[in-house]
Amino acid sequence: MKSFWNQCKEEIKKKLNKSHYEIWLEPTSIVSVGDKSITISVPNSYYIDRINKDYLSIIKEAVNSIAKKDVNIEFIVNINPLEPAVSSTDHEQGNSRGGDDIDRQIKTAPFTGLNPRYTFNNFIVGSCNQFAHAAAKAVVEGLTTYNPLFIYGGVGLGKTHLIQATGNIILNKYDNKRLLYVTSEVFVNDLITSLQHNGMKIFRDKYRSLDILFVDDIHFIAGKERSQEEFFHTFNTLFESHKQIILSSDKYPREIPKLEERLRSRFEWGLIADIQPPELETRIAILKQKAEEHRVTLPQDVAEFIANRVKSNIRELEGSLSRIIAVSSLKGKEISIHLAEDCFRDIFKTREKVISIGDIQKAVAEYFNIKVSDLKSKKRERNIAIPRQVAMYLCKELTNLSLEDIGKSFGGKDHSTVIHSQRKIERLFKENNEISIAVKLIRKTIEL
Amino acid sequence: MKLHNLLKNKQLIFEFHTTHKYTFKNFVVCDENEMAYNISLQISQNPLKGINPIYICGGSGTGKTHLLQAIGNSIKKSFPFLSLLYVSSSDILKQYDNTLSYEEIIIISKEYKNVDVLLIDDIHLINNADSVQEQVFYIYNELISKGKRVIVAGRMLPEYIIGLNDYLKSRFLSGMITVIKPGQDTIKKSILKKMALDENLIISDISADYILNHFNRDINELHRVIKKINHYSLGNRRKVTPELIKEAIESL
Repeated sequence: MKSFWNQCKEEIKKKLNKSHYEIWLEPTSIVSVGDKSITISVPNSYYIDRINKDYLSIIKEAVNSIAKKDVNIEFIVNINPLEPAVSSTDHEQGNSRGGDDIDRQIKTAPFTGLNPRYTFNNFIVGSCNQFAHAAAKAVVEGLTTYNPLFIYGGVGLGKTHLIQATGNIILNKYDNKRLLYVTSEVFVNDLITSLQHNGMKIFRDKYRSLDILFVDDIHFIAGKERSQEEFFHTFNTLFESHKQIILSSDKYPREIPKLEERLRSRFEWGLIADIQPPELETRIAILKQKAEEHRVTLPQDVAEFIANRVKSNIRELEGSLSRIIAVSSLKGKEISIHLAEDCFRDIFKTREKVISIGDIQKAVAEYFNIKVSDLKSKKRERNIAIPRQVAMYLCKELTNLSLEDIGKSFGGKDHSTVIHSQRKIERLFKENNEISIAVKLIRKTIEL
Repeated sequence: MKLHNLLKNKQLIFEFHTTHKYTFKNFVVCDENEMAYNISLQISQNPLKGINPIYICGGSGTGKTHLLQAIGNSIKKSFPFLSLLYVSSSDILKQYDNTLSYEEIIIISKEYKNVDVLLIDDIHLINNADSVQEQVFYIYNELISKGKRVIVAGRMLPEYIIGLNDYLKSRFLSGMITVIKPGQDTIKKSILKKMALDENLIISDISADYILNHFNRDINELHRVIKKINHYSLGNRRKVTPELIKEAIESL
């Protein structure tokens, strides 16, 4: 069924402008094939309008030519675009035939807020997160009563991944668990909207009748009085009826500022598991797996190069990988250590800090082993004049300051002195290798 | 009633305001900005595809705003059905002013979450405004999870923005980062001449050198100088000559 639609897509691709194809047809997937009709799922209702208006005839042509008969095409909106619509029918009765049936089933599938992309399979375990991982697994197995399970760790270390994966596996394992994943933001917004529209009963029914409640980034609830109050009661109701609560935060409960004491103590009732920044081996493993997901080959030396430089955080690690992939396709070069150096030079080395005249003077004085005050003096000895000219040259190259300002910072010289210095150094570059090496080295220390 | 008024007043802000003068065509490409230019061009041809977010980093006057607006203008033209929004952090700070209730904040954030392409300029100005950063974080998460496009520009790399929260730093570092370095003087000279030409001024190499030697050599400053020269020449009804430029500059 999938390959049928892929064939159709290939056919359509030939007939459409590339960017139109990528926007309007790439995100579609097939839901069902009947005798006389097929059902295509699209991300939202705007797609249906747009496709009906502009692309229906092209699609029809392609489908008919591949199916070799006249087929009706129906569109439905996929409520969870990342999840292949087919799988959501699996755990229902399963005798789905027509598009109508599927349509109904998708609409009645309970909303969990979970993204199926996060699984335990693509969660890499290292000693940094092994404890949190084990705790989450234990909750899934229902072996223990860790309630609440409180997972904390710095930004970009995989808290969301871990708790969503927990949710997804529970969803697969048990048919009739009512679970809901929300961020604190969703909880807070939901509450405020409910208060405004007299919808508190619905709100309470929604949150207090769950079997498992996941709240991501719970620390954002701190300082919001009404939300903390409501969450306190939600927590109590669930806890008393032995329902599971799983929370994540960027800090240990006691360290969350402005968090109410009664919530803090409750968060500490169950199990608190931390996630630490990954070690080198884990970082390399993560890069390799991510590269596989992107279907690119990542040479070992490049993986090590990145893993050695991005240490604190998985999100940035993955970001670095996607960056090198993007640059490699932009430049049409294969991923190699050279490309990596090229791609990250600006980011790892220069760090684009704002370079001041003071930084330059300090670095130059250090290199030539003279005093910064010498640079600003009127001394004309060669061992001071040359460094001064080098410093002025670098100020002009590395800052946006006016030549007058640069001159002033060197003991009140005027702009023509700066120009003169620049020309002199540029000339020396050609004649005197020593100077060009000196400038290069100083530049490096400044930009580091 | 208050909410209603709020929405009415805010409505205008959610229209895409860009200056049409910023396009890819009049962007002067040089070694220092080539990568940023290519990436921007690619995004504008394929707004919802590829690595996300894009972070453009460069000192004042290196052309960040120009690129952001060029992306905006180009997308608006080729993909009129996409809704896009260009804001500077200072606009965002103004919008979420301290007197708002949380209900009102939610309404504003909701508007932001509805766009397909969000371009945020001068992100470094958002530092130290914690509650606003929190909203930007929510907006960012929502847009990224829906596969929308986010492009951010700032003077420094996220990690060097003092007062920017870690959760934003880490997110801005998770996509494409491209650094524009200060341009060389030859490039600046051609930019300067081009800017002058936009004001219908023709300036000689000597005059251009003179300007570059006497002022902060960032683009905004140069722009200001060109305007002054133009005014001075119009005000005094004299042709633009090196002498006039000197006089105009001295009168500044």
